[in-house]
Order: sequence, then structure tokens, then C-alpha cells
Amino acid sequence: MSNTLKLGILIIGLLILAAVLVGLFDGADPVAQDQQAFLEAPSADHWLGTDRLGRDILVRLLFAGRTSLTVSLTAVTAMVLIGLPLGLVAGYFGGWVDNVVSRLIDIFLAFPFILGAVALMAVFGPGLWNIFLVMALLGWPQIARLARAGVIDEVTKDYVAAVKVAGATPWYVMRRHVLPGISGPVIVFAVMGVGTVILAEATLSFLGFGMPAPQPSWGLMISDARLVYATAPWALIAPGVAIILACLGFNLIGEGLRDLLDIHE
Amino acid sequence: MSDLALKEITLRGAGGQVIVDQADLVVESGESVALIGESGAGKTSLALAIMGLWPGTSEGAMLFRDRRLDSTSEADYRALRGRELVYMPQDPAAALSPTMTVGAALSDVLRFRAGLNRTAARESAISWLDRVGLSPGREMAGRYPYQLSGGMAQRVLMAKALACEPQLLIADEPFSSLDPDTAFDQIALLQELQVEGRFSLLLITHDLGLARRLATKVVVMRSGRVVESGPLAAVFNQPKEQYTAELIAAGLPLSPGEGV
Repeated sequence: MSNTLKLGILIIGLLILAAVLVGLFDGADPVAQDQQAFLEAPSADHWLGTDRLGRDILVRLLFAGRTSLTVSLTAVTAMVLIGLPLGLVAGYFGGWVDNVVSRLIDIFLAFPFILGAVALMAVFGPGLWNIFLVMALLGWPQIARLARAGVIDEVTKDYVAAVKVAGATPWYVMRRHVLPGISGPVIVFAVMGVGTVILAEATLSFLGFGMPAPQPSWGLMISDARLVYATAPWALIAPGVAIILACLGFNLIGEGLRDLLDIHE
Repeated sequence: MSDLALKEITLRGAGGQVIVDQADLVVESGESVALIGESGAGKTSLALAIMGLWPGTSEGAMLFRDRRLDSTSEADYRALRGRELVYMPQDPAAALSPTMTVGAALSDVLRFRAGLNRTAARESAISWLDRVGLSPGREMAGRYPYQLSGGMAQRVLMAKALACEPQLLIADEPFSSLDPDTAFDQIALLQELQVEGRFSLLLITHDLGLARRLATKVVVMRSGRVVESGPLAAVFNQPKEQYTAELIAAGLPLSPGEGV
């Protein structure tokens, strides 16, 4: 296991741990206001300071982390669940199946990700479930395209021909031979995709299309702190660093996995 | 009853060009037939047609035992392939799935083609590995193809081909990617397994030495036509066709009669 992978796992592990543990503290409430402390600098009471409504930034940061991780992990899972089978079938069977799936992919990819997301969120309205839905809807074509390309490359290889000659059914060939062959790049892409979704969720929330206002979200926190950054820079820096760390963590894991899965090729 | 009988098989490519022209070929039960000829003579095309995988059109009658292959549906064909009718691919390094251990690949054949359950297939796979000389089979089963030498991979292919006790084995240029010493061992192993398994063999090769060692009958092909066929000794010692004589002269630095 490379250092890249270890560092990535460490960052994400700590992030997940903190996001889980913060729920165990009774006093930790992301919307509770401390009327004595508005825009207070980091102190013993509020380790990362408070925002303009007197809410503890550390607590909000960690609850926002929960949101981000939940949305991104479930959305990427959904992307893979939709995109992988479609790409697999399209690449394997070719012909009209491939045509239908590929045109569908083209249609979805024709919309720039953020633009499409903003448009869809404007229709669906803000909320955790809707962010998940939009991400999954806009993200699957990339997985499908990657899987399709991998399959097309894989099915021309001799060993696939050999199993076919041995009388294997298409489903068996796909499941046991083609899928393991393409899983490496798909896993790497999906893990890095988690970082992308975290960033996209933050962007949407920042723009006001993501999480609704009192809810904790990194994008929302940055949007809030933007108004007061000259007097309270910590309110801006904390969620920014959190986003960077989360994206960095998933990218490091992705990079590490790429090297790890490439060894035998 | 013959295992395989091809009568006036004509194969056309996608563009309508004739690839194989009215070829006749008979493999009697338990017999070993060598299909020889230069590259591009149509040997592999004929093999593909027998396996039901020829992409173009075909005419003529094709019988596998008492079964008309030319009118067999794809689903029925699939049931034949890998069970009674087995094709052993050419390049052992490329013909094994890189992400599966050889044990898994072999047990899959036994599970899905011979109908064994998971544990029985696993055990049978291990004993097959031992049988083809990959011992200890238990340890070899855990290896991935990249951890095997060419000769070892060839043994795995042989185990996979024979695991379902086929009626007819079509070996397409077997052993051609192996060095002569390794190939020698593999040929001996194949002979041994054929005695045990009593399958008939259609050997596709341009290696006349290999044909001499394994086959009892020879079919010579040139540009899509069968130019000569008959018992090995007769064809090799008194070729009727000029082409066969040339082929033998080109391929064999051996004195006449040697090895036959």
C-alpha cells in the first residue's frame, strides 16, 4: 500500500470518525446560537470561533461533513449502480443497444455539470434528497462511458473469445470475466468522483440551490462567511479547508488505488 | 460412427468472398486428424465454422456424431461448446482471464459446464491441475495467469479443455508459442490424456513434426481447398500432390519415414 493511499485513508477516516462522533455529544447542535458570542475568534469555548449568528463553527463544520459525505457516497454508489450495468451492456452487445445507451450518455453529457445541476435543483427545490438525486442523474453517464470503453477494449481480448468458445453465456462472460477486467478504472473513477460530488454539493449550496439555509453545509457556510470575511476570516477559512481536505483525501485514495490495481497489468 | 463429418463445406466472408471452398473432412471416433497447410489456407476458418462461430455464411453439411451442426440453434450450440465439442485456443498466455486464479477459472468450467457444485468443482479443479502436471494442484489453483510460465498456462488450457470430457477436441496451433522442450512435454501429456479420455482430436497446425507425432490421418489445405487427405504415412511418404510434397520438403529436415 502506497503512502498516497495511506494518507488519503487517514484523512477520510478522521473526517468520517469526527462526523460520526460529533453526533454523540449532547451539546453539539449545528443550529444552536450562543447569544454571547457573535463572530467570535477561535477560543477555548468555540475552537474554531463562531459565525455571525453565534453558531459554533466546528460543530457546524462536522455536521456539514455528515451531509457532504452522505450525499457524495450515496450519489456515487447510485452513479455506479446505474452507469456500470448500462456501460457493460452497451459495450458488450454493441449494435442498437450500444446506440441507444451511447446517445443517452451524449444527451446527458451535453449539459455542463454545474449548469445542469443548478437547473435541476431549481426545478426540484433545495434539500438533501434532491441533491443526491441530481448528482446521481448527472453523474452516471461518465461511469457508463468509462465502463463501455473498458468493455469494448476487453471483449476483443483472446481470453474472452476463449470463454465464449467454451460455451459461456453472455451474462457469465460479463460477470466473471469482463467486469473484473474493467473494475479497476471504474473504482478509481468512482472514488475520485466522491471528491467531485463533495465539491459540487458545496458549489450548489453556495449558490443557494443546495441545502436549505439553517442546515449545515460547507458551501452554505462559505456563502455566509463571505459577507464578514474581513472581520471574521476563520468563518471562511474553516469550511474552505474542510472542502479541500475532503477532496484531497478522496483523490489521494483514488490515486493510491490506481497504482495498487495496476500492478498486475 | 464418425465424430465429425464435413461434406462440401463452403465458407464465405462478410463480403461474399470464398474463404473455404467445398472442403471435406472426416474425423472418426477416437481418431487424431491433422489439418495442415500454410497460413491463410482456411484452417482456422474451418475450425470456427465447426464451433458455430463463423461470422460469414456457410454451405454444405456438417455432422457432429449424428447431429446436423449446420442447422443447430445458437442455444443448442452453446450447450455443445465446451462440453462435447471443445476448442483449445492458440496462445495460452492470452487465453486465460487475467483477473481470475487458474483454480477459479477451472472450477467455473466444471461448475457451469459439467454441473458440479462449488466444492466438488473446486476439488475436481485441483485434481485436474495435478493431472496435467501442475502440482501441487492445491497451491497452483491460487495462482494468477501472470504468475505462470507459458508451459504452465498451456497445461491449464489443456485441463480446461478436457475438464468436461469432450468427444472432440479441436486444438488450433497448440504449443506454437512454446519452446521446443516444453512443447515436447506437452505433446506427450496430450497423448497421455487422449488415451485416458478417448476423445477424437482435430489438430490444426503448420508444424509437420507435431502432426507426425499426434495424428494418424492428415488433411492438407491450400487456399481454401482440401488438396489431399489420407493416412499419415501415405501422405507423408508418397504425397500425391505437388503442393503436399513441397510442404513436406519445406517443413521437414527429416529423412523420409522418420517418426511415422
